Amino acid sequence: MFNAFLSLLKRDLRLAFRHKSEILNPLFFFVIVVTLFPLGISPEKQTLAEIGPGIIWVAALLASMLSLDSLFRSDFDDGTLELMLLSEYPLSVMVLAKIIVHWLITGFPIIIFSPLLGTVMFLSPDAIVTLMITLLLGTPILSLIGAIGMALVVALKRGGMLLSLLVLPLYIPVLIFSANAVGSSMAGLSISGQLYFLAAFMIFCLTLAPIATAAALRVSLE
Amino acid sequence: MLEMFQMGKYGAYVWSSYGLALFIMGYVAIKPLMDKKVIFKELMMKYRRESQNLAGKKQEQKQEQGQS
Amino acid sequence: MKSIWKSVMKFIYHFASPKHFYRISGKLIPWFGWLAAILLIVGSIDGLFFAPVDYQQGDSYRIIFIHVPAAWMSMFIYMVMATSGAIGTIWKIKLADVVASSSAPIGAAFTFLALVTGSIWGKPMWGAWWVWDARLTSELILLFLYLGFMALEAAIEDPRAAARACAILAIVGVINIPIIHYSVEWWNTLHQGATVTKFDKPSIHISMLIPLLLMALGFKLYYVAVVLVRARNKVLYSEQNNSWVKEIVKAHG
Repeated sequence: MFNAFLSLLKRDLRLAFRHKSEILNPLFFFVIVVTLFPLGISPEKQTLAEIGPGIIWVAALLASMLSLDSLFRSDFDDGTLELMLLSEYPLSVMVLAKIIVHWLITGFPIIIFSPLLGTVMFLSPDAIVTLMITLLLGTPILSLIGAIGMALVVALKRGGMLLSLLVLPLYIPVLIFSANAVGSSMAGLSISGQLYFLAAFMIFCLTLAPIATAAALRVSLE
Repeated sequence: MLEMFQMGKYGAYVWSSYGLALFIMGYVAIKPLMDKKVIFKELMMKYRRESQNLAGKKQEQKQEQGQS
Repeated sequence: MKSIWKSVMKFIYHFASPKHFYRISGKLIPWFGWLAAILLIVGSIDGLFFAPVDYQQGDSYRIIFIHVPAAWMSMFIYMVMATSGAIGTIWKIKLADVVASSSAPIGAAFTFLALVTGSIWGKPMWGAWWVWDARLTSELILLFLYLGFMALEAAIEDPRAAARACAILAIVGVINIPIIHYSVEWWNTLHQGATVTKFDKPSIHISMLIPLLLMALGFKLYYVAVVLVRARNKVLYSEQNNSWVKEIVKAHG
């Protein structure tokens, strides 16, 4: 089973690297959205430092959500998903492999680029480290919860708008605790509570979301 | 008596809340009752059509049998 | 043990068969409906005219007799949807799916009512129509969850697949609601600890508690009556090719 898991992981990664736009577009989107805010609000250092954590996190959230389509869409269209359903391995494990790939190609680049955006938004060095830690804990949650929503709408022709309606409310706890942790570390406050919450929520989602996603895929493939 | 309805200075707030509740809950309750009438009417027409078709077919069959 | 379980399930399936449900619910609806109407009228009159004036908020607190039961119902109905969705998925009882989908618009209406009455109550209390108060914010997110549920149901054409998908969404939602609620509450205490929140004051006087409980019970019975009417409509429509529906419709007109 572990071998099947690994081979699916490798296959999906190879496919993603062949279509480089799948990796670059969400990242590009993330950077653009953050850039819009100083233009729309004010380039003042104090203002940006105050709203920066929230803005970077909202942008990460949207980038992750908009890239969910790549998670199941092509496999749904060419019938690979149906084969996965029929295979001897549990669907939830296969789904987890796909979610990990999604995180690697969307969440991970966002983490790598976040210090740059943190600097642009005048976050303190401490806050930038916190930003990276919250992204490290939080973006997997986005991929995991997003996978459930994507699995529900994958069979629909126009599921994009619907997906955001389903998924965004569920992202709220991640946004609240992550953005607050970054803001708190700017103010020099302790952030261990927020990080513990994020870690716990991530493990919680890691155990349950693949099962829910598999169940949703079964419904969509009927 | 009138003072009771004025609710101090909050009359507008209190009465608009209760009015809204009455409106929303009334609509939510009455809508399905009206839907029920529509469904009955629709199904009635459907069954009538079906039985007419059935009767028509039987007659055709009888005529065919008579001819042969 | 197994045979007992089997006969219990057999009884449930029999009871939950569309035909039986239609017959029994038809008898129950007037009871629930009228009882709800009486409770709501008595509760409103008691709350509006007989409950004493609050020494801090004056008469404006009378809005809570609508707001609080509506907020309770909004959470209760989402739980009903998740539970009946799970029942429909596990035991393949169609009636449970019907209850889940019939409940959604009623729950959304209660959520909306709780939001608007909260905002009307907030105007004289906070001086603004909207404040990012923990309860109002949670209620708003709950409204989003309801709208997502209804949008998903509307987007999937096959009613059976829609019921399965919505059940998963409702279960995921119900697991998330406490987490969302907790995080919103935490966020709220950080940003505005000073707002007056008298919605859930623990030491409420008995003369205020009685109309509140009357209204809460009235709302619940109202929900049961309306959900039964809606479920009956759906059952009638989806079973339209069965002979018992034909008999009922023909006898009706």
